[in-house]
Amino acid sequence: VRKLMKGAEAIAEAAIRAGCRLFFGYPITPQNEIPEYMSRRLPEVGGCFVQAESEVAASNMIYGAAGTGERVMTSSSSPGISLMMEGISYLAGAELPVVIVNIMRAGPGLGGILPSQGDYFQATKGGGHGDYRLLVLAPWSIQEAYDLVQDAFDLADYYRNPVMVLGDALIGQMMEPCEFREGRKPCKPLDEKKEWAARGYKGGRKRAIINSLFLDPVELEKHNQKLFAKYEEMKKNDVRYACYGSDGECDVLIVAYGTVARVAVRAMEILEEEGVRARLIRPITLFPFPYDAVYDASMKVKFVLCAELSTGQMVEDVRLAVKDHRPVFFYGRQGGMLISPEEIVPEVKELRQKIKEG
Amino acid sequence: LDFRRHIVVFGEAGSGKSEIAINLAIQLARTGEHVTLVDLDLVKPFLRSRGALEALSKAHVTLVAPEGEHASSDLPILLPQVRSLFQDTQRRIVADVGGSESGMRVIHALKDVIPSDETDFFLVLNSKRPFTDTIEKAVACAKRMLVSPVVKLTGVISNTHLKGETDANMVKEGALFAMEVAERLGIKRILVAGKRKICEELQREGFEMPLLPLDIYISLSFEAKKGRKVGPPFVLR
Repeated sequence: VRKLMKGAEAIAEAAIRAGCRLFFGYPITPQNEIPEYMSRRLPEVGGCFVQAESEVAASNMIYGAAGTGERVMTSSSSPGISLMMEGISYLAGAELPVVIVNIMRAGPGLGGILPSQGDYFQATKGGGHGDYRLLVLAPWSIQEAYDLVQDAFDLADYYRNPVMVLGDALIGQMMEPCEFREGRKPCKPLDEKKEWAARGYKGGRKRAIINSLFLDPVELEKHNQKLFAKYEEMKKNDVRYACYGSDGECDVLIVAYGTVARVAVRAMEILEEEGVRARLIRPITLFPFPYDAVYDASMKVKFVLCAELSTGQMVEDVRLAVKDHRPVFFYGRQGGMLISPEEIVPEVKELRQKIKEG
Repeated sequence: LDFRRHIVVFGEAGSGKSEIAINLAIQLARTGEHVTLVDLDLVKPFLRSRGALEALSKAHVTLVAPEGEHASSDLPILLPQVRSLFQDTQRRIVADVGGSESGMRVIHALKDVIPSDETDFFLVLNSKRPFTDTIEKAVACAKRMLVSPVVKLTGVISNTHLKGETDANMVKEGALFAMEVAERLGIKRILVAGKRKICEELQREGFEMPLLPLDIYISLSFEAKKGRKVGPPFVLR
């Protein structure tokens, strides 16, 4: 079935079709259509929607619900995600599979309600306290948002780790055609028994304790290393990215994620017409970041430009990837201002000129 | 373009009200009328009719919407001058009422100033949207939105589309869908909206229902233009 979906609606429908029957959240612009849709649809499919009294409460409700092994989701936007950070750290510590959707708005603080990518650091480098990582997926279209939310549930179950779907406000608010694909197969092998889950004795299930408290330092270190091994496995097996444009020698490699990558594709078409050869790499997983792919792609260009709706966050990972082998530049807008293709084109041409002149 | 003095456009969230309200206002203004477009979208945070400010002022349509920092806020602002605008008998208003039934409550708040019998109330319907994709759901949604006795539905605007994937056939199917919904609601008047090119195609075919050709005023910089193609990714993991 093909429908015209707002991003927030597609995200909610995808969750339901992935078997999510429990949603806990608190309203905030620009993602209110996710809880709205869930409150409308979940009762129709035997699910349960609860509006929590705050984001802190919602993050603890998903902790409790995920402890039963059921598929659980919450969603919020930047300031609300900050409030959830305590709960998210506990979820990672207790190895609970949940899907958290962050539809980013401009910050810091209350900021504004328009699109931003200012939460990259928070999403990929921790955010809450302690030594943990979220697997972070960044869609660039409504269809991809739908598909990635379904994958997010499989990845969360497989790794027993919270997975974040990170989109700027346009991913929440814009409308595009979306196919509800039938007969989808899980993207990871799934453990149906979930023996770790606290589901009651039921005539012989082992006692399950969901906890993130380890007072014995030997045990806690072991636990940290167990978590670390999962993050290493993610880096090995679950890096996702897409490349666009010419595979040969180019002037510039653009690195962008989310809707900014759509702008970059349009900019590349204009650049090509004007004789500038460009390629684009679009990280789909922000953690694990596609360091190798960015490095390899950068070896075939003269310089790299990272474009973001921030003052420069992902660009730090791009620099780590390129390792001084090529100059890395940054172009960003903030405050809810979008980057237009017509801004990227002269930026690239100017940089190309500078590089030519040495 | 035979309408009553005021036109109120409403419908389920995402049905295309803003785009239709902008088009109606601009088309009426082109016939030499003084038109005021009132942005009554108190629900949706952005991609609202106030986004088409430039095109509206070029067409000499007066836009009444929150200004300055409030233009990009999610506050449910009902501007105080809206009441007096409706009371001004010299004025023609096109009102864009956002956001489903909760958004419609604003109309009830204005019930003492909206002249019901001088106002067209149009329900906008896109059968490709998830909450109006069957006749039953669309009728139920329309009934939910008739929250105030001041709202006397006069017509249905069929706006079935899937953005860039829309063709003449889809618009025709949508029109039939809207006809059935209208019949269940006891409404005779139907307008069929579609992008200008598709409307021209339908006209050539001799399509008999009244058409409302649309120019798109609210769009994003990366949305595909005709003739430019986005190449497929060469690596996708």
